[in-house]
Amino acid sequence: MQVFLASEPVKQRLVLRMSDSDEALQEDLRSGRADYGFSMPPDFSEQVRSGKGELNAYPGRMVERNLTAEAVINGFVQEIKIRQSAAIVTMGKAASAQSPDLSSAHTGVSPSMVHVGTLAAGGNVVFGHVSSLQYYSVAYLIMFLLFSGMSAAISLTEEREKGTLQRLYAMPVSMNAIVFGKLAGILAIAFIQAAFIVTFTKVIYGVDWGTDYGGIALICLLTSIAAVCLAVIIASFVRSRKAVELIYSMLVVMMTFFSGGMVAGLGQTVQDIGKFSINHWANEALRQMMSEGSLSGQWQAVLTLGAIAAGLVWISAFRFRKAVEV
Amino acid sequence: MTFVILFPIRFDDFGYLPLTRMIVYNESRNVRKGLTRMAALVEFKNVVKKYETKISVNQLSLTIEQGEIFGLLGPNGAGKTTTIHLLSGLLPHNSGEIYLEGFSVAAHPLEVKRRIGLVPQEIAIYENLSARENVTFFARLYGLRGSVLQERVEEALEFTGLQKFAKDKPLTFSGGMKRRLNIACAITHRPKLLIMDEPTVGIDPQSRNHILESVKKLNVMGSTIIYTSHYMEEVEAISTRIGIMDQGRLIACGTKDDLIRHAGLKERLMLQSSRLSDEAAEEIRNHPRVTFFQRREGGMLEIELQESQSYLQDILFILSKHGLALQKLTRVEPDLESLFLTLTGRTLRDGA
Repeated sequence: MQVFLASEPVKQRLVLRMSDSDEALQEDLRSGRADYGFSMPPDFSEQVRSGKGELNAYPGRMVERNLTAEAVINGFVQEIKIRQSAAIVTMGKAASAQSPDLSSAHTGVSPSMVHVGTLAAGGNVVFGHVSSLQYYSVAYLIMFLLFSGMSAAISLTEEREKGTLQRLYAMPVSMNAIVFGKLAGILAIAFIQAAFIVTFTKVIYGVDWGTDYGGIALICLLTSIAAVCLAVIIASFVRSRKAVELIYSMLVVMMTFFSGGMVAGLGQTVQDIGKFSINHWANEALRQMMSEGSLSGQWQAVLTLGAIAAGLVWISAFRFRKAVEV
Repeated sequence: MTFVILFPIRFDDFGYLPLTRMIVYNESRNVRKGLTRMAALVEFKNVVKKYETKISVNQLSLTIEQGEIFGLLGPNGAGKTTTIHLLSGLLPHNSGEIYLEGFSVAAHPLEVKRRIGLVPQEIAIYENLSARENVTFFARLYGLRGSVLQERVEEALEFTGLQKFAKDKPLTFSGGMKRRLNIACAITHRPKLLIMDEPTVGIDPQSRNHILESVKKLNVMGSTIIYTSHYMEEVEAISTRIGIMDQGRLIACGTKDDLIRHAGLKERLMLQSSRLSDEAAEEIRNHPRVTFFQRREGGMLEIELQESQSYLQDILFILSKHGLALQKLTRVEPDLESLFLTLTGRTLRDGA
């Protein structure tokens, strides 16, 4: 391992520093003094020789830096696997029988040698039970869904400003049909967008979204409903398109930030504030599903998100007339 | 009981309407819907619209018959737009009743909207859609489909002179072309009542003339038209009847001649004599038949003279007595501007 880390290609990409313990490493990551950490047991070399071996990886806050570090670690893991495969070829079936891991490496099925750890200490968690990629994929999915609501607010105010909304009301179609048709279209686009993000991250980055796609669809639906209702509420107070755009985007960016969607593992106070955001509960519900966490935990997050969406539906129902009046 | 009434309508050179129009009037169904009035096309009965403390339309009672071009005139803020919004079902009224072809706007808004084509004051079109797509979109909302839809869209584009630009987006259009597209979007369903709210604001004289001609053609083709403007010349040129609104009230209504006669307005004379002296002007003012006198710049006098044909020679005699030559004599017919001035003490432009 030391030879690998001292090699020139690795030194060009990473600055390595030894840490005294796992706890010290996690503290460095939490405070931002380190970008990525990994630890190996003292008998790692023995484990590898016996066909086992496991590294503990601790991703940091920055997704790009995590990706870089993971690429280097993966290179190291691949090298080990090649050497294990060579051992199988040299030692024959005896080695294979002795080590199922080595056998699977040989057959191309990669058992994970890297256990992704968390910075759990005193209840503080950066990525929870998911990888950094999963963490940020969820955060960005929810942020994009919330931004789709902005197009509802912009569309309403723009039509109001241009006078086309007035013209539509003069048609023999009910006002509700016009507005709900418009909002339903935006919900449909949000759903297509969500499906694209999930598929793209799964295929390109290998993000594991779990198996509960119905649950993911439900969370996306609740988030989109909350976003559209938020749009109606804002459009009922603000008349100009630019103001709506500014207020809505500020709100979404703030909610994303406080829910840890931009930088993970912010202080406890920020996390507590984040609990008042739509993002927090949508993220939480999705991450629980991804990591196949407890059913009660999943339901708690989904129900809280549902309650937020219902609250916004209720408020927007009161503000609806004001939002769509010409 | 069902009656089928067939009657011929006027055929014009546009080939726009069929030779006959059929109305199926199911009496029993209409009675069930509470439709008992079929006389006037539009009827306002003591309509009031308030915005918190401000009364925007005050006790408006008005009847518009089928086939009219009804000009609604008044300064900005007089209540014209609010009135047409009330009729179009865009705004609820606080009290009174509004009917279109017997349908109450409050009780049957969709029936009313089916019969109306609204050309709003703002150019209400989608700039990212082509002209044809705009017209098609709004036509579909009126329930037109298939070959009828296509036929009517092409008719509307041709009627407004936009067929050559059907594929172009309004972003590239002039103000006048956008105004014409605004009209095209309102006529595909051949509305019984076409409401045009200030359709010529901010456009060049050529486009204005095109729009005014279009209004007349649409009327000939069978549409009743309500035309609002604060340009009195336009309203005067096209309207068969005129309503004048001020501060939410309908202060006068009738043909132009009726309005002027009832207001007691008479023609005025404009006399110009470059060296007009104060003495001569004073003597003309004191003539017993001069009922209105105003001295203007450039030796110009504006006077209203009772029995002008008989007494004009007296005025000319006064001028010659003071050694003054008459350079110009013009007769000025009373117009809507002077009518509005008489009724409100303000000019239309002042109000705007």
